[in-house]
Amino acid sequence: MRTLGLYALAYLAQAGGAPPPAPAEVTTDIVSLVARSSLVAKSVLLILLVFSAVSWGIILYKLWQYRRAERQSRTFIAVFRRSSKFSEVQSVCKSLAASPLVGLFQAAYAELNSQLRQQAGAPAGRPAAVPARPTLKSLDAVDRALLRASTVEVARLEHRVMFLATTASITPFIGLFGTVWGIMAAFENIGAAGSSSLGVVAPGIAEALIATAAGLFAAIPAVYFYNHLTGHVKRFAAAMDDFSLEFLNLAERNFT
Amino acid sequence: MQEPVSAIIAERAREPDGMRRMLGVSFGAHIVVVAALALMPAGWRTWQARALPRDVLFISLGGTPGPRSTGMTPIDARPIQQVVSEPELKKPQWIQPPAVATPEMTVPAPKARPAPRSTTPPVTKAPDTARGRTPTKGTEARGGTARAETGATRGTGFGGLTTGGGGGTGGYVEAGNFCCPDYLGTMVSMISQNWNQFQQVAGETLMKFAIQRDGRITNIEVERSSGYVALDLAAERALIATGQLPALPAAYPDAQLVVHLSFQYKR
Repeated sequence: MRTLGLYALAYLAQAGGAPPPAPAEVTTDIVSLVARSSLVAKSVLLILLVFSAVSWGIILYKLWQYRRAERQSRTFIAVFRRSSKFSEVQSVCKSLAASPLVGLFQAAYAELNSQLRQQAGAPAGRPAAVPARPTLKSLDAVDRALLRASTVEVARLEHRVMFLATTASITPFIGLFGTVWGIMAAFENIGAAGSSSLGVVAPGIAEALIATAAGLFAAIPAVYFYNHLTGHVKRFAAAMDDFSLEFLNLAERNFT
Repeated sequence: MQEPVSAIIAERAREPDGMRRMLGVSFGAHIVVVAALALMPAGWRTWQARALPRDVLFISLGGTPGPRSTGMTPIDARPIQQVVSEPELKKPQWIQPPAVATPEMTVPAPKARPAPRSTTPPVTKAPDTARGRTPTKGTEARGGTARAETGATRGTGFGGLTTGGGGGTGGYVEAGNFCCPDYLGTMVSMISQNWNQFQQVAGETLMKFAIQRDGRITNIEVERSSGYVALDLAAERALIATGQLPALPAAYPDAQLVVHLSFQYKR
């Protein structure tokens, strides 16, 4: 509902804001060209505007999410390396929830805890590291828990980035469609006017080319940020692999 | 069966808030940009500062107005037919077969037959160059170089139109691709009616002015002075007195038509 309202507003701003072009003068500025263009061209521009707005929304959101995740991961790693007990680390997890490493740690810690609790006859509420020399039944299970968690984390980081790829590949085509349509209309006008002087041809073609420009306007940031964000996700995945190996090493050293 | 890990993973898989807010920010920014584009003063968004007025025409007003032949082909200054004497053509001759040599007297020999003397093959067909060409009869009309003097001297045509002009010196037109010569004819005749051509000195004033779409004459200025104030003023007066011309033809796309008009005075 909210987005629908925004579409209508955007359309109003586009159509209503333009002053009517002077009757005798042939002006070449963007707004009057848009105001004079056909309904198809206007709707193509509107679609491109919506695509651009949504993809910029995703870009901003993802940049914000990744920056937070990076900062909190650094803090988390520092806390993890400094503390001697997993339970200490577990207590800071709430405040660092944006970091993907926290997800990994929580999953592995839950698995570890359940194994140790089963072994120790499940004394409720006791931390894992307290028994004299607790041992793990299976380190593989911990590994699997880490794997599951990292899959989920990567999926969470990648969520909606695909929309950028979609935008990057289809908005130029949508713009091209608008241009082709506009040029068809321009040729019809030439046929109707019966003259092919530049004065008749040029405004129609200029009007048609706006659609291509708008398509590129939407596509170029989407391409750039798609690559940028995908690179970020790869770095996160590497950090998660690194962390899970580190965790497994610690668990093996302490609990077997 | 519930694994402890699954609960945590399910909890982590939920998308954190913030997406809606960013979408709102992005839509807001787009609307602001579009609105700014739409509402900014018209002068800012034209990338081409101002279309320069096109210098379309150089027209000279010189001498007395000639015959009006609006819309018709002027007949003066055209090549006319001229009688050319026919060069003498040699009548082609048929090629004759070579004369038959008189046979020598020989003693008739019953068995010997005389060898053929001539090796020339018999001519049965005339060569191509000698194919029957009927010589022309009478004289042939060809385009000549003589000019027919019709009383009208060379006019300054606007793409096929004459507006006449006696004296014949310095009449010139440099027309761009202006569509409508009829309009120029009207313009020149209307201006010449208001022009006092007979001043006391000879000279030439080049005036520049613009015809607006509704036909008003504006931006009158002396582009090249004749050196005499009187002549310049007379030319300017002619333009001011004319004031209003018919509206520019619809086929002409621009908002105004800039004309350079030369007024030639010859005492």
